[in-house]
Amino acid sequence: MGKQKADLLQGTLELLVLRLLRSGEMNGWDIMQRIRLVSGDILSVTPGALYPALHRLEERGFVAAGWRASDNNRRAKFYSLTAAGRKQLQAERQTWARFTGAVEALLRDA
Amino acid sequence: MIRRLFRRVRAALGSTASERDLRDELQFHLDRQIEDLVRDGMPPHEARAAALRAFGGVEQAKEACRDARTREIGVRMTLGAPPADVIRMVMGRGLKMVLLGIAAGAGAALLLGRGIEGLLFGIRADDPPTFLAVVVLLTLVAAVASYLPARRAAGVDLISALRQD
Repeated sequence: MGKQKADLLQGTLELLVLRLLRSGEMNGWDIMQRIRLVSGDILSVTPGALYPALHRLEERGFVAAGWRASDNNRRAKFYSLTAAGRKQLQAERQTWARFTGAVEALLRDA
Repeated sequence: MIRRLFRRVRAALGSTASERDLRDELQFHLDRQIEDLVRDGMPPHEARAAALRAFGGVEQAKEACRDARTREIGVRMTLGAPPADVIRMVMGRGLKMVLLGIAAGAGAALLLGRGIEGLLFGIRADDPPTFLAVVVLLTLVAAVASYLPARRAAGVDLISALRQD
C-alpha cells in the first residue's frame, strides 16, 4: 500500500457519516469499511472516533438507531438518517463546498 | 411535576441501558474484525489480539462515547468558565435529581408512616426532628457523591476533550 493516508479534517467525519447514511441504514462496522473502500484507502477512521461521532449525531437527533440482525445474522446496531439529519447533511454540504471553494481560490490566486 | 420526575427516572434508567447498548455495539464491531482476520488466515487468538490493537482499546472507545459530555465541559472551560462553574453545573444536575427524590420520598413516608404509628413507642411517625435529620443526612451524602465526579469533570484536559472529533 504505497498510498499516503490523509487525516480527516475536523468535523468532516460527521458530514461523511450523514452522507453514507443517506444511501440506507448501516452499522458502525459497515460505515468504517465503506469510508475506507470508497476513498480508495486514503481515508480511514478509527472506532474511537466513529462511535462517539455516531452517538453525538444520535443525541442531536440527526440519526436514529435500532437493533436488528446483520448480514451475518448477529444483532447489530443500525443507524439511519432522520428528517433533521437530512437537513443537516444539506447544510454541512454547503459549508463544505464554501470552505473548499475558498481554499481552492486561495491556492490558485493568492 | 410528576411527569418531570418520571422523565428523569426514565433518563436515569435509560443511561444504564445505553451502557449495555454501547458494550454490545462495540463487541459486534470487534467480532466482525476478528471474523475478517480469521477468514484471511490468521489464527483466532492472534486475530483477537490484532483486532483489539486495531481498536485502540474497547475501554478507550467506551470512555470516549460516554464522555461526549466531556467536550461540552472542555468547550465551556476554554471559553473561560472557571472550574468552580463546571463543578456547580455538574453538581447541580446531580443534586436536582436527588432533591426530587427526597421530596417524593418524604411525601411517601408521611403518607405511609401512619400505618406504623401503632408500632412506635414514644415517637410519632411524623416526628419533625427525625424527618429533618434524615433529609439533611441524605442531602449531604448526595452532595459528596456528586462532588467527586464534578471535580473530575473540572479537571478535564482541554486539549484531549477538544481533539476527540
